[in-house]
Amino acid sequence: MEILLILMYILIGTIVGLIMGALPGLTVTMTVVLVVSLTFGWPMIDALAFIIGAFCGGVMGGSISAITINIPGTAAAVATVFDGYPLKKKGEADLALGIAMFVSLLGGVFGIIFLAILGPIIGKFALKFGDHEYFLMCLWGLTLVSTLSKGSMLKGLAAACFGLIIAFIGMDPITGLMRFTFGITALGGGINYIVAMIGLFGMKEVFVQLSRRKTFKIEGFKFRLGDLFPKLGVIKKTFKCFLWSAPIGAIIGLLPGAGGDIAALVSYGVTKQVIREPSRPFGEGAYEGVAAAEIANDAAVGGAITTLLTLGIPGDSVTAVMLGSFYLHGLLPGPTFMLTERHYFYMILLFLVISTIFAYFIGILGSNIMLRMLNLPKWFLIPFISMLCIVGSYALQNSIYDVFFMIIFGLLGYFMEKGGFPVSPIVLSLILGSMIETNFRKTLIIESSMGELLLSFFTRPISLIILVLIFLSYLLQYKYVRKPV
Amino acid sequence: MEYSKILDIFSILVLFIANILVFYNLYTFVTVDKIPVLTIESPLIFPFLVALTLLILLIAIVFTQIRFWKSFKIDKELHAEDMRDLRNTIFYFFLLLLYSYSLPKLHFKLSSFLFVLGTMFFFSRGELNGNILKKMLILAGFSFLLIYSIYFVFSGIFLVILP
Repeated sequence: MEILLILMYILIGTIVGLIMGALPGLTVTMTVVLVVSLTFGWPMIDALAFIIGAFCGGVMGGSISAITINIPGTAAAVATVFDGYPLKKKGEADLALGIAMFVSLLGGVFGIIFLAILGPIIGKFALKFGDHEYFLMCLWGLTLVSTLSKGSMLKGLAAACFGLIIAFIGMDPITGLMRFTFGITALGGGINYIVAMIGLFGMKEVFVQLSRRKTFKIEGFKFRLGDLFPKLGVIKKTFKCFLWSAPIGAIIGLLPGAGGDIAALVSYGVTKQVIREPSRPFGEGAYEGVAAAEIANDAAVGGAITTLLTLGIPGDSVTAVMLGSFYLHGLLPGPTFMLTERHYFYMILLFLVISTIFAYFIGILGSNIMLRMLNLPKWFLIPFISMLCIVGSYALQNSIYDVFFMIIFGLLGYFMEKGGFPVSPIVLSLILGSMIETNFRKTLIIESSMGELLLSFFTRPISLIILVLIFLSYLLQYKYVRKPV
Repeated sequence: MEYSKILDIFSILVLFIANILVFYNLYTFVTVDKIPVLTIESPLIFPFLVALTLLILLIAIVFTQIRFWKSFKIDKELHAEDMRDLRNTIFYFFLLLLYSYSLPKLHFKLSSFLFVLGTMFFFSRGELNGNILKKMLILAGFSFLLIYSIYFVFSGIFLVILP
């Protein structure tokens, strides 16, 4: 009975994820945030089943709008647009979506196998970590999310510092001193990161939708369900992409700071180089183009979850939100996770497999319904999402102050993003803030002076490796991805 | 998302204000509570280092952005659209605050119904045809359905106590 209930949670989560992922503008991150807000009082296993279902559904749902209206439902589906939409224009939308869903299933399963093999290995290695390494790992995660965010690296780092400052509000984790509350009682307990997440990802998106003039209308178009299962000939043509796209996706997903969008773009680029005679020229509806992007973005899920669970470092904004939701439900991903909570690791693996399979079949069966959902008018969507954000933030602690904070974070997130400041580093800093500070101060007390502390980072081998990785992240970002705004 | 110079300046100002508040609070801790900042056991050392880093970053950002702003040309049409968006955003922000403020007073169902109806009416301008009474009736029906669905899911299924 309990298993059936869990399967039902995964199923509902997947349906919610598919719908939200398909709607342009409603990102996977926002989907997961809203889903998390529903699960505050739930038992941990039920909540995880629901959240993982929504996550996998959201990733797969993004390809529906990418193919049918040329707008990726999620950032990870951005490369699917290149060949998916031209295929729709040629009257082969069913085939394009069929390929996208089928290879997503394969890519997703590859990512999960990757996680199953690599997770325990990384977990064993991570047991060698002490306070120094914990601190540096958190710092590396923050660095990567800040430097790899869109726009200027300086702004990404400033956003991370701002997030840390917000995390300092309330009681000091070691001495219990009240800091930065300015005598305001509502700030005494600090600002809950879930509230900030709902504001910065959910409510911010509402403000973005307010200024988006374009509405989508899909009339007189329907998928033929039978054609959504790709034919053997097409599978043969696209299967070779699996050889490189799946490992590329999983490995890029593994890197903190790089998510499904980067994996899909790299995989698409490599496929263009490798396949000399595609079914059609790339950009004009090549089956291989759709396959390369979709395999990689789904394989990246497994890679990202590996880093999240074994090192406690989220790869991108979605996994940052996942980390927050794991903390909320009492799971503590990080170096000791594989030692103390190994059974949860395998449970998450199982949930991922089931969610990916559910997402495939529901994606096909519900494709026409989701197509109709794309026609939902803005005057309905805006109050609907606003209500979900408000109720979700209130439900956390039954506090109206949380609702006020959430709305303020929403506006702040909107203003900052319009000004070129990424919001993901703020959320990640809020989640990791207490861990970074505690480990830094413990390390400082152990080493007894700032000079000794800095020296110890160079004398401990693992610390030195992480330090080099942090340095390389800055260097590579500065060299290759520098942007003016 | 389209870049906005005004909001870029605004964001930098917000970060500066946050930074000043941190330094002010640290100053009061040192002078009033006599808690030192730069000792290894101090609970203020890490916030101080972060605030200092943010200050340096903000100064660097201002310098790089000044160069960028000088070369940045404002499209008048786009600027007018931006201003309209900003007005809509701020209007909606205050509407949300008003709704949140009214939640404990009018309770969930009534305040949410008024909020959703008002929002739907505002954003459906030019989209729904027919006379205003008919339009209000349709929107009231949608609002009622939406509120009761959310109430049922949160309160009935997930047992969340709504205000």
